[in-house]
Amino acid sequence: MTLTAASRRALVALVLVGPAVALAAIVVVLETYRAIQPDSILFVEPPAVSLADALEHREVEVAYSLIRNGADPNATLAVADAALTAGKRVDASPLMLAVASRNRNAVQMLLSAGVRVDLPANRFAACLAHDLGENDLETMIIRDGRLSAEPTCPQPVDESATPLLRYLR
Amino acid sequence: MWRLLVLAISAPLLLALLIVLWRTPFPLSEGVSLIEDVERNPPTHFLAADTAYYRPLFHITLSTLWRHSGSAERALQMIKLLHIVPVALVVVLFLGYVRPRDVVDAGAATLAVAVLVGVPAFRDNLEIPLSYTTIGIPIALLVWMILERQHASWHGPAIVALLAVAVGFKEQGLVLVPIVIAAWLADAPGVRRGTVIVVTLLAVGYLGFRLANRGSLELFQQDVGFGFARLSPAEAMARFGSFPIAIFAYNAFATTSNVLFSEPTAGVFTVTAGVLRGGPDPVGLLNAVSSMAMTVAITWWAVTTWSNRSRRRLTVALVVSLLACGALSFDYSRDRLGGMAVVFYALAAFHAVRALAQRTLDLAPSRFRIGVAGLLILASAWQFRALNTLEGARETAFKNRREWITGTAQRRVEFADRSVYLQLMERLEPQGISDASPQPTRYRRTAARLIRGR
Repeated sequence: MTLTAASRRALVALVLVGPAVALAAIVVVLETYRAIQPDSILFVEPPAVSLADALEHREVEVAYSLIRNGADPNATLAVADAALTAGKRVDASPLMLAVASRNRNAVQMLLSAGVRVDLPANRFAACLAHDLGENDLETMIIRDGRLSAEPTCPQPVDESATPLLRYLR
Repeated sequence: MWRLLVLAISAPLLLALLIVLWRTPFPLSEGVSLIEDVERNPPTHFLAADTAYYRPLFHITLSTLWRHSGSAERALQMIKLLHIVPVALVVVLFLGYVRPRDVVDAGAATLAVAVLVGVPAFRDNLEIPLSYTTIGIPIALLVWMILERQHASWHGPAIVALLAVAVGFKEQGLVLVPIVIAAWLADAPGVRRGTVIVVTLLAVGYLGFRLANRGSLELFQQDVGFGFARLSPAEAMARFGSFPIAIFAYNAFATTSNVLFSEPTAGVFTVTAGVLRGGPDPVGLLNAVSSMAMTVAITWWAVTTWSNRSRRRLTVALVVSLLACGALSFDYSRDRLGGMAVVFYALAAFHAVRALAQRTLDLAPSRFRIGVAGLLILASAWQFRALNTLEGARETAFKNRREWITGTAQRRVEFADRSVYLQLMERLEPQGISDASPQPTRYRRTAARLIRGR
């Protein structure tokens, strides 16, 4: 089939304008949907079931949102995790949990949110970081937590326990 | 009418981009220290040139907005507008200047707008509040529009004033000097010898002033990308300190090449490294391939229209702007340092695509189909890149908010002796952690969840 000159012109214009129109349509549809459903998984990470879940597995914004909405960053959380606690149910502070999960952003967020590193539940956070080989986390906790001196780390009672369990008291 | 059509098609992306910029939190790093600078020092302090980062007009404008806006919130809004207005202005001016006259022109113009918005040199200049070159980009286009108009008595003063503003915001504004000279040599109708002399003297005076006041600055001010690696200033000094000309030439080449080929990025050949590893970043690869295709098209257009005086002037302006951007980025290459060349690249893209489209119309049927497919692929790739610029702005906003969420504890310790900094940080924190901050669209994760059926 041979196209007329006018058809050719229209086709060439269409292939140039078409993608731009498609882009405009995508933007309009997406932004309208964003305005109607701002909490859609297309735009935000779904909320976590608990602060412990957020600190262990999720982006830092999820944990921050919970703390901003009233969760106490200094209160202990009930945790039972196959890797971190060998499935045992224990109480651990958000900071200890964030360190055990090697979640650097969460540790920084908790320190920025005013976690008190000198509390009994947090006092071995730097030791746990050291034990995990997370030296920058250890430095960060001591420096940004404004500890006057490096903590004295206890000798682990049970060497076979997971790193988190070794430092929970 | 065609101009309005192109504007209407480009409007959703542009408006979305402007809204994202408006809602982007002021960054913790750089942002707070910039405000601290203007809070602690009188405006005249920024006229002293004993710094590698001499942007007197930017700092004085920032100082004026910060001190006289009535409240911190209003001041931040004004500073954002200083960034947002030039972004909107350059797109509107661009469409006003190219004046599409028929449907094929309109198609070429939509693609050229995508090129303007999609090149890394534009995208990298969207970082609020660093509006240094963002101001310079529409100024470059304004100067070009004046150079190409029939001469009027106000042209000379206007060119000089625009040059002063662009250079005052950042030395990248000096790119306009060789452009004005080259345009005059190429018989541009809007400029006279007197203007060229004044512009040249201003540039010589500015460079003399900077050199005389440079003090004892380090040879390398920032990390230097070289080949497949990034070198710290100390590493760059150890490797190139005895003969820096080679790395200066490399940096100049890298900035120029980034505008033309989207590779390297900040001097590092990331896409090439990915290809050699067998797993290139698909978006980076698309950027590089679409840039190569557009640059080839522009080269073909430049060669075939060299005999046309005004087309030749645009080619010369593009080449001169690229060389000047390269020369001014001799110390380190960054995508944003090619910013002053983007309007010339996008203008050349408009003409090249228009010429390609016209050429395609005259092809035999079998070749016509190939030509149409090629144009479709090229246009789609660049529209995708324009969308990516919008997502890039969202990611910057997200990154800024995350920095506020995670970074204040460290700064309270690090800047304990800078009370002004700490006070400003407290004042700006609410806007930094606001839930209204733009979020990147989670295309990949949503698709993955849908595929998994969760």
